[in-house]
Amino acid sequence: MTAYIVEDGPQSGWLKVYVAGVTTAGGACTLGSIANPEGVALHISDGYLKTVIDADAAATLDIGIGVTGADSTNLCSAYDINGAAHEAVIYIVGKDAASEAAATSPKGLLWAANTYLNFYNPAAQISSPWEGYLYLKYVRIGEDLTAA
Amino acid sequence: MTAHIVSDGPQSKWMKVHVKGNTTAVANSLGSIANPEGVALHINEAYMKVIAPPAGAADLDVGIGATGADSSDLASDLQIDGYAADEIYYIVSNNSASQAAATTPQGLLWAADTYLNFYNHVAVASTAFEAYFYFHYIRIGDDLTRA
Repeated sequence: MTAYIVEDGPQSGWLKVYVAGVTTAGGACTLGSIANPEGVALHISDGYLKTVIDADAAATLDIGIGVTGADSTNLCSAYDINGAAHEAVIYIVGKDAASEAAATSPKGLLWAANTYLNFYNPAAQISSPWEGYLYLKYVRIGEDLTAA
Repeated sequence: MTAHIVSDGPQSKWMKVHVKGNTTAVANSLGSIANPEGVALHINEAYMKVIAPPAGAADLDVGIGATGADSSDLASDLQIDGYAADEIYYIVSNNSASQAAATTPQGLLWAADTYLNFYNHVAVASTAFEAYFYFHYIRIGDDLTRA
């Protein structure tokens, strides 16, 4: 399992996460989990996934927030990483919301302080050699810490 | 031709570009902006604020390509003479669902060695046109720390 935050230089305000498939055969498995990087409640407001190389078999990708290692699907559900074009960029956070609409999954998502950003292949297929980058923007959504 | 990145103060993380029309009455470039980071970028948000529309029926294309090219993959055939002063318009669409492709005009790759082009593609002068463009982007390249 491989998922980590990339810190190779200026990211123009984006949280950049590298994720790779694995050779685990015959069953669904986690591709990695990222702990909340700020330790406070965050609201994910923007997200994109770039596929570098697709999977050889019919693996799929779930992305979401939950306990570490979980199959979380509240950002992305069963995305076909076998059919994903190399270098393709897709929306992860939907931008199809009108003013005054709820900014809830998948058009925004709370990332609670003690939870994880999870990547999971729910299909019974090997996910290698898929590789991708996830880019996220978030709001520190908590209360005013200076308020009495 | 006049297009330049504005660096007049804090831009709240937006790249701000000023573009002006000219008196040339044939199709012509209004300017090109080199990739400002020298790495692959993905443009994910953009707006145009019109300061003044052109006097004639000039049209504007905006996109990525070789310097000076008539690129239209962000905006095509904008009839800027009909646009109101001080109005703001979407350049990157903002209506895509989760898992939809983020491709033109709902996002666009800006390769390291390419240019952001502004072009009046009709044979009418674009005189008096003036606008600001605002862009957000992602540095979309690979992890440079990986072997």
